[in-house]
Amino acid sequence: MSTNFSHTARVIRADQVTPLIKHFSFERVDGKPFSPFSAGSHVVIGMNNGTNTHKNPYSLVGSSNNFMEYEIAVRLDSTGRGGSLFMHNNIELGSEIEIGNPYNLFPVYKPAKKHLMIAGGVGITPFMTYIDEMNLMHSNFELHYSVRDFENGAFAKELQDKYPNQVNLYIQANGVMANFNEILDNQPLGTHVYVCGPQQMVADALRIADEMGWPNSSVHSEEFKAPEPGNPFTVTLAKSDCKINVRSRESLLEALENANIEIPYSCRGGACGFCKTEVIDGEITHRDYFLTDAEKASGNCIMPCISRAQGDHLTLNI
Amino acid sequence: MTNVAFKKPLETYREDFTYANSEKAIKRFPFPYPEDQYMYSVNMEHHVRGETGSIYENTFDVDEHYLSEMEERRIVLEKDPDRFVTLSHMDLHQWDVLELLMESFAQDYPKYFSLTKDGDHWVWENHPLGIKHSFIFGDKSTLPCEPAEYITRQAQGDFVLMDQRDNDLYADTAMITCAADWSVPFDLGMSFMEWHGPVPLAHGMGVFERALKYLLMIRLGQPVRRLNWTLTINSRMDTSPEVYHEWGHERGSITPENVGEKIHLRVEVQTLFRLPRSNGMLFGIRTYLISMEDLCKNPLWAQRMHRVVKSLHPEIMDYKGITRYHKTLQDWLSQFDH
Amino acid sequence: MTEEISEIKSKPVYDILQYDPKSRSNLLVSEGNGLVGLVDFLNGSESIPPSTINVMCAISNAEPLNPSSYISPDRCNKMRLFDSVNALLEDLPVTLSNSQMGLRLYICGSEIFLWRVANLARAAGMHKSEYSMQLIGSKARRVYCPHCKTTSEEVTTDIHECVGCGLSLVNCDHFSREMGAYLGFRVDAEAHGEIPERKELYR
Repeated sequence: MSTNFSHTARVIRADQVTPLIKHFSFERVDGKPFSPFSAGSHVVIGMNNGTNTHKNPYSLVGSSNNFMEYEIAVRLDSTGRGGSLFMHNNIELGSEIEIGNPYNLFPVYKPAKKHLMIAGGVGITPFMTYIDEMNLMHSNFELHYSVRDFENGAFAKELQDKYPNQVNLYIQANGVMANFNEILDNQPLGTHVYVCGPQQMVADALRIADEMGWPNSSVHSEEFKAPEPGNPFTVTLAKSDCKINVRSRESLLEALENANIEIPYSCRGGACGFCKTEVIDGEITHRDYFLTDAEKASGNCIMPCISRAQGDHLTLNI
Repeated sequence: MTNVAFKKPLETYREDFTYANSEKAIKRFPFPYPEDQYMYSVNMEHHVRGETGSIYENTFDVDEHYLSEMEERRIVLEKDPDRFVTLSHMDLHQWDVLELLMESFAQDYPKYFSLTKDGDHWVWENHPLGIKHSFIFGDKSTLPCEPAEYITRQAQGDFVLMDQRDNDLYADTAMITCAADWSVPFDLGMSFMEWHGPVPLAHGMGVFERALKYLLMIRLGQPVRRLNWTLTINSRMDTSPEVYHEWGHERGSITPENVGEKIHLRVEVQTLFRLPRSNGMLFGIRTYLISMEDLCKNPLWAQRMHRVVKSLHPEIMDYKGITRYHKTLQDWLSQFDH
Repeated sequence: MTEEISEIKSKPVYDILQYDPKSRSNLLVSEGNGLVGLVDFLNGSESIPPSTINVMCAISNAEPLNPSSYISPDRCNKMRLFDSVNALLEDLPVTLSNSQMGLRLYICGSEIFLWRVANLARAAGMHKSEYSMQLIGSKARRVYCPHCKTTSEEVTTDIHECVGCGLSLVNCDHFSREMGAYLGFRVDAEAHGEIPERKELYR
């Protein structure tokens, strides 16, 4: 599973759907269709700014029935490391990017009796394909979507028009806030809840679901962290006998890739487990969701997409 | 382009057992033992294309037995329609499998199969079976039966469609007419561990935990495969519990004179594909049968077969139903191992 | 054949009922002597608010148990008695369809009863983490015959005659939760007429 599949694709539409969110459509440069994908899937987009390549995961938002195009929505994160900024400022009609095969860390729970979706801001993206699938399968669903103001509610109008009975919009500027206690109360047996949005919102929703007796098996959330800048460090590769410097604004995975060392990956956000790498020496600051507490404590593996050295060096068994 | 010399007249996998392998089929048989001793392992590898003429040349192998095996499937389903079973949340998985099989067949065997798409309006042609059917992808009412049943009536081997949830894989749809002694519909809906519950030793070795962890992470476009094996008396494809009361006695029919003709090595090429629309998995179980006589035409295979049989763990022997004729088989095989 | 399959992983393992303190409401269901398990459970979990507890008991006339003397009315919100298991099982889907997320189901009784209830719970959308089971009472098995697709009820021996096809079946520990049954197969399939003496194993 070492190959990170990708296709070269070209931008065929780029719309600023809110002041902060840009909606892109891509087609394959070779003219072939993309693979079908399941609701909740993400793809990794690789963009080259001339000196290095940013690779960021984005949920697919397009129709799960038109595979000539893939669509994503990118929120501008001015505090991040530049990937979304680059997408907003430099990727335009006709630009070419690399796009990986879809992978799903946030799938629909198929036998559920009812699907309850809670979205905040750009967290709406995975639910765009969810709703498509639920509509197709005639499933019972509800969406609760919180946005700062109507102007910032990506896809809000289109969703409300299409599903007036299932979509509940909460516009914070108008003083309307989603009350998770009310949303989660009185839901029939067999309901599954899916949460995607800002970290604090997800944490609140999960905590309240837990307090209200929802079992973990019925509660699903999607959280990719973005890699955070940290102190620079040196990584020694024991098998290939070389040293690489990891700069403060790049992740360990990116530093390895820039040195042409291929590590399998999918989410690049500490969730999927593909890039797990054995550590022989050095203290680790773990930031992922994948490793068990025991694995983290053992100190002999790291998710290089998101975790870093605690000190100034690490030795990897690759 | 792959050419297949379909066996005609049709061979039988029951009653008079006219099934036989051509020289070509013997040569490409997937001999399953990497060592002289057999034990369970997570023996998975990427399902990549192999050499021209090998069983791995194409994504799904269509061989000289295609027409005969499809007739055998028809006979089994006619007697027992429950060999295809599905739970209600499996629609997307079913369409996934229909698409995967149709596209693979049409791409790998253009002489025999074709698929034309105009949006959701699809036309499927299967020349060997004389089928031409127009249907709307996603609309079950345009097919004569469930989508997975429709396509697996036209594909060799058994198929299980698994739903992925709770960090587990559930066997929620299955077309099983050549089972090596496991029951559908009894196993329908089981988790990965429950389904493999009866397999001895391997649980204690952690084989299934490791296998499941691996399977859960299989990616789109990167299928994997492994081999499994057992022994079968006569070229009987349908060795399911459903008809065990009819075939079980054949295990007692082995004599030194008929070992070579009656005992067959049964190899399953198991493939696992991530399904794109459902995020489920397809588990393909493609069964190959070869008589001991034909197998032992290859001296290296004959020698290894003897050593594997001789050193077989008693619990595995029992589970595979070999105990009753083990000694007779071992004695017969010893002639090839000096 | 019967010895080597005793470690089959699909065979259910039962524990005593465990209170899930995260529950919002608790439905306790028993049959026959299973009531004893519910009483023990309540005695061991004093912290469960009585207002969250509903009890459904099937008490057959043949087994004189007086449930009211075991669970006092102030220990639960409501206790309902049924004079047969079937009456209870007919009511349960209605009760579950009016229930909400946060419910935990506690089941106590014979093995056959446990899985009949569990299957209704699953049909209502409950996940296995939302119900727990304790086996008190009969271990008699439902045994599925793959040869004729009939399920024999209340099988207490390792070998029995299938009620559908009359073949002598040996049952193994391979268990289907969907069916609530163990798998049987013809015991003398390999040597017709060689039927070992049956042993009573599941009472």
